[in-house]
Parts: sequence; C-alpha cells; structure tokens
Amino acid sequence: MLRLVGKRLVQLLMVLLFLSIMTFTLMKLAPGDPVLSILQADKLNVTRADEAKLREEFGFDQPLYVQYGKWMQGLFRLDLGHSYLTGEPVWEEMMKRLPITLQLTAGALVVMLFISFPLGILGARYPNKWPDQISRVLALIGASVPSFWLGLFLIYFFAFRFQLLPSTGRDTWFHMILPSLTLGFSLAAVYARLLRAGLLDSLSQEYIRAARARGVPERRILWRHALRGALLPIITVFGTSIGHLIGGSVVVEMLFSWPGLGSMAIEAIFGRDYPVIQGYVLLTGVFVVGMNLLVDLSYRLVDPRIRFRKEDS
Amino acid sequence: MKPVTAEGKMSMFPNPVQKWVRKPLLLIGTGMLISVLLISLVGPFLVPNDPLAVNMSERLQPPSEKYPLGTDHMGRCLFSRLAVGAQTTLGITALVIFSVIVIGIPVGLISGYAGGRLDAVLMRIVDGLIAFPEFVLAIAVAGFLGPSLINLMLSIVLVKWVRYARVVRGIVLSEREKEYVLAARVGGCSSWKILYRHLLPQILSPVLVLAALDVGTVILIISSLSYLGLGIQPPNPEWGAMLNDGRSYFQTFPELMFYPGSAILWVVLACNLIGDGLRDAIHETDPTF
Repeated sequence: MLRLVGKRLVQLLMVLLFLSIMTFTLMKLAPGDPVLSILQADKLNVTRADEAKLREEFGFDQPLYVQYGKWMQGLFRLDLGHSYLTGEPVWEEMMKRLPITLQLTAGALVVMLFISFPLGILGARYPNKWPDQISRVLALIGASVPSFWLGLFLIYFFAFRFQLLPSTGRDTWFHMILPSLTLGFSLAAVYARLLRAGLLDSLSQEYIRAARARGVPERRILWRHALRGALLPIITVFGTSIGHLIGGSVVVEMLFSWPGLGSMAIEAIFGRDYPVIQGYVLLTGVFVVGMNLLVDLSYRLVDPRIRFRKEDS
Repeated sequence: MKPVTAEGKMSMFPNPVQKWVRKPLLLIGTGMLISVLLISLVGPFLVPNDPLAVNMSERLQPPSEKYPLGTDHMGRCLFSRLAVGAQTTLGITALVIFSVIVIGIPVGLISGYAGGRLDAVLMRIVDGLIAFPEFVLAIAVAGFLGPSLINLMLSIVLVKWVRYARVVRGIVLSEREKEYVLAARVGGCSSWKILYRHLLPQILSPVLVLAALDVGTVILIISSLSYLGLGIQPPNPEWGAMLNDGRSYFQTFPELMFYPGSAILWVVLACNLIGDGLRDAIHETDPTF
C-alpha cells in the first residue's frame, strides 16, 4: 500500500514537472510581447528605456533556464504572478473561482446519481425489457449530444419558453438546476449503463445464488448484495470522469455565465492573459491528478479483496 | 509472401459483412454516417447558394425556395452553410484521427519492442499526458498559441495519441514473446522487418476499433472548442462555430442553433452506434479484448 502511494506520488510529481515545463514553454512560444502590450495599455508613446526597464523588472532579459527556475520558485510559494488584465494575483483569483466551479460539479454529480441509479437498477432488474431499452437509448443520446446544445435547449424551453427556471447567474438554488443538468446528463447516461453492466455481472455471481438459496428476498439481494459488488468497478472509472467534469464545466460555465474557473480561462484566452491561463492549466492539472490518486487509493481501501492481496505492482 | 499473422487478424472479424447486416444498430449507424459522408462529398457542388455570401437585406429569412432552411443573421444560406460545414467537420476529424494513428502506432511499436530505457521514458510521457483532461489541455494549447484551426487540431492530436501508443505497446509486449516472432528472429529477420511485417498486422484491427470509438468524441471536442471560439474562425462554416454565431439570436430564431446542433448529434450518434456495434462484435468472438 505504501509503495503504491509512493509510486503514484512520483507520477503526480512527473505530471507536475511536465505541466510546468509545458505551460512555461507554451507561454514563451505565445505570440505577442507581454511587455509591449502592458506598456501600450498604459500610455501611447513608449520609449526604449521604458521597455528595457520593464523587461528587467520581469526578468525577461535573463536566460530561459534562469527564468524557469525563478518561476518554479514562485510556484512553490503559490506565487503564480499577476493577471495582465486586472493586476490581481492569479492564485487569489483562482481560489475565489474554484468553489464556484466545485459547486457546479457537485450539482452535476447529484444529477448523475439521481438519473443513473434508477435507470441502471431498472435496466439490470429487467434486462432487455422496455425500461432497459429506454436507458440504452438515453445512454446513446447522452454520449452523443454536445453539452452546449443540450444546455441551449434547456435554456430555450425552461428559461425562455415556459419561464420556469433562471438561466444565468447563481443567486439561488434554482440557478443551479439547468447548469447541473447540462453538465451531469452525459455522465449520468454513461454511469447508468456501467451500473447496469456491473449489476448484471454481480447478479450472476455465486454469492448471489447462495443468498437466493437462503431465501433472502430479491429486493434485498439487489440493494444489499449485488449493488456493493457493482459499485466497485464504477469507482475505478470515476477517476477519469473528474477530468471530464472539469473540462466540460468550461463549456457549461460559458453557456450559463457561471463565474467559475472555466469562464475565467475563456476570458483569459481572449484577453491574452497568459499568467491566468497558466494558473488555470496548472491548477486543474494538479486537481485532476490528485483526485485520481485519491480515487485509486479509496478503491483499494473499500475493496477488501484488493486490500488483503499481496502487493503485486 | 503472405504475413504469418493473417489468420490471427481474420479471426477477429470472422465474416465482417454478415456481422454488419445482423446488427440493426450497426446498420442504422452506418446508414446515418453514409448519408453525412455523401452530403459532405457532394454538398459543396450542389448547394443552392454561396455559404459565405452575406446579404444583409435578406437576414433571418424563413425557409423559402431560394433558401431551403432560411438564412442566418447575416443573410447567409443556412442550408449551404450546413452542407459545406459537414465537409469541414468530417475533414478535420479524419485528419486528426489519421495523425493520431500515425503518431501512436510507431511510438507504441518502438516502445514495446525496444523496451528498456527508451520504453521507460516514452511511457512516463504517456503517463503524464494521459492523466490530464483532454479538454483542458486543448484549451491550454489554444489559449497560449491563439485560437485557430491548426492549433485546435494540434491540441487534440497531442492529447489523443497517447492512448493509441499505450494500446499498441500492450499488444506488442504480449506478442513479442510469442514463438512466431522468435522464429522470425532466428530466421534472420531484422527488427524493422519484424515490426512492420509481423507485429503491425496484429495491432491494426484493435487500433481501428479504438479509432472508430474515438470519432464521435473527436467531433464533439472539435465542435465544443469551435463553439467556444477556439477553433474554426468566422466566417468559415463549421457546425460548432455556427451554433456560436446563432447564440445571440436564439430566443427569437432558435432555428439558427437547432440545425447545426442536430447535425452534430446525428453524426456523433452514427459514430457511436458503429463504435458500439464493432465493440460488441469483437466481444462475441474475442472476450479478452
């Protein structure tokens, strides 16, 4: 177990190193000169002396590896630089936005649970009957519908046509419904199918037959015995969904004017605000890899079959 | 000389045509995809209007004889833009999938066959990239290098090739210990010849299935990024970009978004039907896949 944690931590460090080098290089490759754009935003006539002074201030006159080292030093102190547009520290801005994005992802997860559980259980209870077919069709649509289109559809019908729910802003709980639905729907469709497959698989195991022979009621078999076995493979897949959620939140936030990390990234891209983009990429990278690590470890803790097996990796 | 591995490859698809016909969903998916392919091939020659021609006096028109689906906010023919947009979307997708395969296969082959330090280094890179959400990476590339079509494709390829490399490497690892490879080596085959004569045929069908399953996701990523304004730049017609164009008019003219959105849904659904069908077909003959 400890060895595994160590191995995964090394992988996390690798990812961080890779990310930092990538964002640093991309930033250097990026078109446009930040020094000039800052100067020109302040005043009209820029002298060579102004330019050289600012370049020195930013350390742009030093060799690249020195700049990288300095930048990494800053990273460890959570100093990600300042936004070109607002002048605010990037780290603080992100910490302000992160809870807002997490709120949206949490909403999407709730939607996922509320849709996928009933559908998955119905599908496994009546395989190949009509509830199963409905969940199959929904899963196909869920995997194929572009999230922005689903969102626009929901806005059109619920916010505009029937005026039932608000479409933008985040003042009340009602504001969360449409964005969460949009972000959670495709995930729900996938997990409904995964749950069905997992349930069918564990329902065919011998311990289920043993439970049936003991006269355990079918309802209890499904909820107590089969569901526990079916949840495990789902937890392993869940790690990959975190990245999916974070990525998908960009589109959804943009669509519903949700002021989270995703809209921050898009604003930064169109404003050429490189420190903010860099911060966004680093933060989401660390977050996703870290969450993946947690999911992996928790699944080893939950499943006694894995916990008590000899270390094999 | 026929490659030794021909039989191995055939067993995966015992009788492809028969399989195709027996699966209704696979058949429907293929039909849906063929319809779009036809439109994208023939469309540009048959469209009634120039998809780029702006005509402000005829903006937001309802469907008419001249404009089969009406016009958008700049008076451009929606039908023509959709038909030409099909070519853009499918063309980019094909190019992306092709590049991903062209990069992923050699890296996986070499990594798996050579082993050792080279393998370790390559796989660490793969580990690093695979852990990263593809959409965020695509945003990073588009964000730093500026929104453009080339950067869009670059970013998707950058994210996607790693999975192919890993799958190919896995197959090579299990195949290279088999006797026919040993026999080939004893027989004096060079490493290169073993790689492309004996190992390459083994990996082609799994990689093609992987690609078939990926087409839908790639189309979704392309149109999402275009929707965000990070992909194809106006005025070129592309479905995601068209949706973005119509956004500010959607309360009064939801058609502007309904058509391109349905088109994306149609293609991706077709690809997913085909991908699922292929996966099922392989599961039946080869449960280990």
